[in-house]
Amino acid sequence: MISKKVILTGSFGVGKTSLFNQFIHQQFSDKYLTTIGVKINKKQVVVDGEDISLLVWDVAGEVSQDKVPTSYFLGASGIVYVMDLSRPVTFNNMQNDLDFLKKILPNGEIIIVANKKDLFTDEQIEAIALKLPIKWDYTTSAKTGENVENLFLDMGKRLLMRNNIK
Amino acid sequence: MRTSSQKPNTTTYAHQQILMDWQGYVLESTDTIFSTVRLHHRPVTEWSNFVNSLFPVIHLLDLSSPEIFLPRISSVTNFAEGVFDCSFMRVEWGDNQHVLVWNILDYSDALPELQKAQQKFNEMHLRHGLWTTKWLV
Repeated sequence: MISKKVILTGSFGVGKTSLFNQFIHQQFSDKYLTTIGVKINKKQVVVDGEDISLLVWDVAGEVSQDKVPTSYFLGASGIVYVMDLSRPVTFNNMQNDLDFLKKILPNGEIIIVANKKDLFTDEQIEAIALKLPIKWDYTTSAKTGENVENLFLDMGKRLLMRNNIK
Repeated sequence: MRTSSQKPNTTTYAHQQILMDWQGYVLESTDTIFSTVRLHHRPVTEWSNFVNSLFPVIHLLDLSSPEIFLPRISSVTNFAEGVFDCSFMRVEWGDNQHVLVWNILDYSDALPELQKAQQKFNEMHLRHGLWTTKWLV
């Protein structure tokens, strides 16, 4: 079975650890507890009948990605970049962050996630999307679990495809 | 003169050094932070998700490569939680044998203080961010 390293990153308080806990343990807590450094865990998923082990690095949030130690990205195949729908400030640095991440992982898969969907109606989310120059890939709720598994399955699928092409 | 109430911070730091072969089996360990006695027959990639996710990179190290340094790792193994700084390098050992060195510095004693300070900082910024910028939807 192949293993792939995936980095979960973004500003602080956007819900990275909640997504991590929802994906790995199917758990959610309303209490905000900051992450120190990086937490690592593994989950096996099945994509189109093929097993893939995702080694997920839940990185402490930083206002901009250039503040994350670059060594964390060593050996990574994918990045999940998380934003918070309820805090526009987490979108402010999006373009710079993505440019930086593409530079640091030029051949990696990057999935952009807008989290905390449960706080908004679909109409409100559409209105937010119209204001942004960059589209996100998944709208998730770590609280309800909506789209969390889907986003990691999609990452697994993309990484398997790349692996099979090689 | 320093009085007893002005004692310096007594946080203790433990350091462990592990030598591994190219398959990731432990050859030697100081076992200062955790014991590897029962782990010698299993490659480190099986009991450390952290090393497992880095192993392809560590494998590429040569003698002239600078050490790889990773600060503030919360889970160096699948059973040791805390806060650790880690580094990896390739060295010559014995009769021209090349091995991997994994250095681990444990400063988990400082974790509550680190957590408290970071939590305070983040919460302050979260409050400020919410107050100053809201979507007009």
